[in-house]
Amino acid sequence: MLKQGFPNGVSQAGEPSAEECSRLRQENEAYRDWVARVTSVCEQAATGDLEARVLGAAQTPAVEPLARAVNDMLDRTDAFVREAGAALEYAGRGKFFRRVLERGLLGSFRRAATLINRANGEMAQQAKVLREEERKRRILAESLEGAIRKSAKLADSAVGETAQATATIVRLTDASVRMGQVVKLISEIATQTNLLALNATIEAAHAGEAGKGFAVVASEVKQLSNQTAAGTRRVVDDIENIRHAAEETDKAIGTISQTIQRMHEVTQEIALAVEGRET
Amino acid sequence: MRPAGLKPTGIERRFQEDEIIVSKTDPKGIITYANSVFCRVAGYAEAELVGQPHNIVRHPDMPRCVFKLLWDTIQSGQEIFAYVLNLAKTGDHYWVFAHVTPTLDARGNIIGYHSNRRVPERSAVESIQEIYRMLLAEERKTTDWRKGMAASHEMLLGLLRKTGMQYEEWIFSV
Repeated sequence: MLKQGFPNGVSQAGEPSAEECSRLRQENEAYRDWVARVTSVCEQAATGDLEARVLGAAQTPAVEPLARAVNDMLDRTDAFVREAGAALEYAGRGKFFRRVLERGLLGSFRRAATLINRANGEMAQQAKVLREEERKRRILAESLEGAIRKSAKLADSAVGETAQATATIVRLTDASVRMGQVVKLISEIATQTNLLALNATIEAAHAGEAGKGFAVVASEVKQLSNQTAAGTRRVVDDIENIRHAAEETDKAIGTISQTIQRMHEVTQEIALAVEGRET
Repeated sequence: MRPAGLKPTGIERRFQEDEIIVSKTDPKGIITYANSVFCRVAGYAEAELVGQPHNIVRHPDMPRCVFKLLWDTIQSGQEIFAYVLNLAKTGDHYWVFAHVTPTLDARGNIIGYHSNRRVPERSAVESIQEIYRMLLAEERKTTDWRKGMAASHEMLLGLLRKTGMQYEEWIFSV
């Protein structure tokens, strides 16, 4: 098109026509408008708002690739943020099947997604190990509980038996006291017999020759009473020894009973510790 | 707008493995953003999608109970994954593995939804097709769509009970 005042195409090298100026001005304004819209979308994205997109550029061929590039960039960033957030949120609830979908994520996004998924897999593995250990601990705690019940039964019956033993000791002590009384009686009889033998010896001496045989008998009786007295002293000593031994046995049984109780308590404490409860 | 009387052609469309079909909607499901992959695969211009309800790409062979589950889940603030069969403007179809998440404001209120759709594994599509056929058949036993949807929803819950998994875990095992 020839421009006024510039014949023979001079305008190509010179000033543009008014029409062309107007067209260029309009185009420039349209581009300024697009730059402002794209800037606004990018500014929102820069503040972390990934919702805005550049819309309506399809009819403007010069702007459409820019709009598409910005939108694609935002779409993939948006996808990564939603994916990574969701996968971690699930993992936090112990659900490890929710992985970041790597399909559709490229470059750094893909690499980060792979990293998250690998970590996710490791967390799943660790969770599995923890569950297995918890299961083993539970089994151990249960078998210990069984052992505790047995231990309690044994401790109960042992304590019962020591009580019986104590009763036996009491009977033994009673018997030794009664024996002591009998021995005391025998000892008194021996003293009386000794006195009688002494009197008999004196009476035999008064009787002279006729009492000689009787004096021999009285002497024998005296000797017997002396032997009886010596025997009863030994028995008194023995009874004292028995009483002392019974007392010691009674004390020992008491200690054994306490030890059995304490051992049972310790076993219970171990079981509670294994179950992870406070003792 | 979806062309009136649009019928499925039975022709499948595919997109690239490293592509993501992206869309955003307002809380009512009205499209506020459709990326270039969405526009290309669904065969609509951006201006034809923005402002339209998201079911503009709904395929008649999709069981209603899947969308019920999807909406119930995202409205409760949770994400959901689902295999979805979509209908393009031409009547062609395309399978996607959709990940739908609510978009929250600073106070935690739902201000819209975001959907990323990726190329699904072929084996998963084959498995899910079987299940969707069963669910759809259950839905079509009655002319009352609400009753049909409730029945297919029950059927889906029954299938999940058999697997012993929650939906969120099961969907990754398909």
